Amino acid sequence: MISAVRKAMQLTRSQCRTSLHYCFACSDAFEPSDGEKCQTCHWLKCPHCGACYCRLDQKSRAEVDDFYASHCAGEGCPYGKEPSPWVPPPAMPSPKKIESEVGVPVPPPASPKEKLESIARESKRVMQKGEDKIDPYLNDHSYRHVERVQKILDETEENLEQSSFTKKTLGRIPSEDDLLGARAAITAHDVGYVKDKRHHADVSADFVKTNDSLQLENGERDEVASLCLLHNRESTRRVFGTDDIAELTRSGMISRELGYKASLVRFADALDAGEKRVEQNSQGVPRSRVIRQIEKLPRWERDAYMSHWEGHRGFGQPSLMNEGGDLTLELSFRSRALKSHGSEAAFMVRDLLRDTNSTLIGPSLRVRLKCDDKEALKQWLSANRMVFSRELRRVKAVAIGDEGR
Amino acid sequence: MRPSKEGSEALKGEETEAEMELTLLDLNRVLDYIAQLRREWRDRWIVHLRIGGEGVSLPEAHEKAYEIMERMGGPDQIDYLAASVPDSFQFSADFADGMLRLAAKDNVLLSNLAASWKRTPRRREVSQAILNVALTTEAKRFVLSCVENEGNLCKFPGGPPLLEEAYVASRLGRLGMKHILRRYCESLVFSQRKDGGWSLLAESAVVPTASAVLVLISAEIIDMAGRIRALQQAVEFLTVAEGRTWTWPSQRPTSASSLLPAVAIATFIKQGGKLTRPIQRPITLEATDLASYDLILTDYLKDLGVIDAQISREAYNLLHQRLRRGTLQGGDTTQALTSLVYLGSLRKKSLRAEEGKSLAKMLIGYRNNDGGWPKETGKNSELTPTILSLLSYRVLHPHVAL
Repeated sequence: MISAVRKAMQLTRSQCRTSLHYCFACSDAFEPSDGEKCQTCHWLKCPHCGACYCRLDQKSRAEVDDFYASHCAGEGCPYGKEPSPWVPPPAMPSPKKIESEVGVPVPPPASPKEKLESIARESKRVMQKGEDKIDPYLNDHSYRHVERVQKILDETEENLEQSSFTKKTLGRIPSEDDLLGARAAITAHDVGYVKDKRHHADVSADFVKTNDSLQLENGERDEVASLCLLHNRESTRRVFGTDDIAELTRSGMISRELGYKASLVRFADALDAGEKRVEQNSQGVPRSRVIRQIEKLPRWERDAYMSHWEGHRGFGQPSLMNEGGDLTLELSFRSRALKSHGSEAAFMVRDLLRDTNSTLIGPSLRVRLKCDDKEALKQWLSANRMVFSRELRRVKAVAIGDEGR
Repeated sequence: MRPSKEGSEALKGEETEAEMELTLLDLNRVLDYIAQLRREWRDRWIVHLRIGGEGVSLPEAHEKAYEIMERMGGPDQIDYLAASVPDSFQFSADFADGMLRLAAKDNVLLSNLAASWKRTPRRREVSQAILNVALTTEAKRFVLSCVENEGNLCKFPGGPPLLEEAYVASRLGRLGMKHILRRYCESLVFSQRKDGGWSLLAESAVVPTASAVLVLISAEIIDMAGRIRALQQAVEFLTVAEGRTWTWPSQRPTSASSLLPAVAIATFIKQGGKLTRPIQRPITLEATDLASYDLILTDYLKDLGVIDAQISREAYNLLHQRLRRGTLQGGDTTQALTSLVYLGSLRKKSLRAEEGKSLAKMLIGYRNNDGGWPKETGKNSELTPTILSLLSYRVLHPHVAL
């Protein structure tokens, strides 16, 4: 490089009065008017090879500086000359320094799918890790329950949209993005069970707010955390004084949008009931073995837990259907269970209806009661109707069997 | 789908029903009642406890019942406790909505069940955990029942707007009801008149406006659009009206309503607000005045530095004398009791444990089963005495989570 620089300087010395410039890199001559001024060094860039002062190495620059000071400056040449000496640009700071002063570069926002996957992944990890801490004598509260509820939510949402409930409630059909919060809340709603059953909804909400692995933005976190809290009637009551989502929406404590989503989450959670819920416990131990363990407990404990398992066995998983625009909740009873544990089953039905009635969906529901033995169903209803008659009065209509279809 | 005739027939019952108010403080009473019924219906019935989102059976022995309740989530997780004898009756202590419900196949049985309940006494001793849950959750339920559709607060459920006493809502944030405070603030901002005031009448009035100012100031922790502008307009209204429809209190005795605008403006200035013309002057009171104010107004005066240890002590002694003589009556015994608790807390020497217990017992004794407090014992619950009572309960039990 230095030889080219020297050659250019030699040529310049001999011919600069002709105003021709010589490139320090390729030694070619060019008219100053053809060269573009470099914004960094203020020398002209060679129109042939594009080189300027910036391209030179240290040694070459030193020689050019000397040359300029001794030759060009005295001649009044306007190129590459600034009143103040040229200061090379500062070196780029190290990545560590940039991070400490400016912060970690913000990654582009995740897509809704990625967001949902992040929360599902983390919820599953936490729940599977802490599975052993969940009461083994209760029904399944593991991630298997979450997966069932996810499916129920999708079916419920589809039925709600088709039945015009959604349009009447929200004035529109929500998009997939709109429902991200509800779907995310389903994956996280029972995470708290592994830490504190008592306030599991609060713990789940806290998990959403504080877990950095979740790719949710601030507003989304708040919404999902609120939905985790609202999914549980007890937590809702403790915070607001009532667990009735319709009441909370009416009084403006929560928006209609949030009320709709909270209703979806709570409704879907409630519908994971019946036989399927008691096929195994949270640790994956099959029902028969759990029952054997329960039977070894002291009588007062045994009776408490047995009623829980027997009650759920009274019916199959409830299903929500859209029958010609009417939302119908169908409960299919097992006659054998109704005969042996009718009262327990009655209370489980009551509990289910209390959960569904506390949502925006409840008052729009029609309930259909079916059984493999119609006579057994009638007898059971006659004996146990009082247990849930008040809850049934709050739904739109009730039918037995396939009548009215 | 129409309900089928067959379905309707199967579900139509001849049972009769009765219901009455219930509070979580009756939990022991419910257990005693169930124990009584169990003796009569031993082989035929089932008891169901819905708690923490799960349904289980309830053990016979009381202490085991509490153990299972604790295991399943504790008193704040109880939804209901019910018992049923198929084909005969159903009894439900529904703590979620505060109602006891009885249903029976015939009237005679129903009457017997209801009479039996009335005969079952409420036990005096209630655990602190149950007390805390009952007072806070049930009070929230009552306060929520005073919220109208637009977030507006009423004096009692279905009653007239709170407006003149709106300032009591300024303490809702301290009682774990920030959501109600927010909604109320939004409602106030929305209903503010063009002259910056509020009123239930044709023209804006000073007391409701002063009340609203205090609510809007208290909502500073809430991120709410329009609050600052509404506040400034309201204070301007009060400033302009001073000398015309109200005067800065200078003569004694000073009623609470005549003091309110001055307190509102002084609080606004203390929070950094600016007036278009200076009107603030010192506020002087005597113990007899202070004894007639509610604890929220007293708290504002304390924050403004208007009351000192001597005046608050004298006011406390006045109220204490009235309490001992049984002359704590006439209009607003709850207000007087709650003020007594608050003034007691301001003394250098804090309330003795027995004194605190005795006041707490009185306070709980005034409470209605709907979770609210009345102005006077035996009357219907109202929002203002409920908020005052919750605040004074907090003074007596500062560690209660609200």
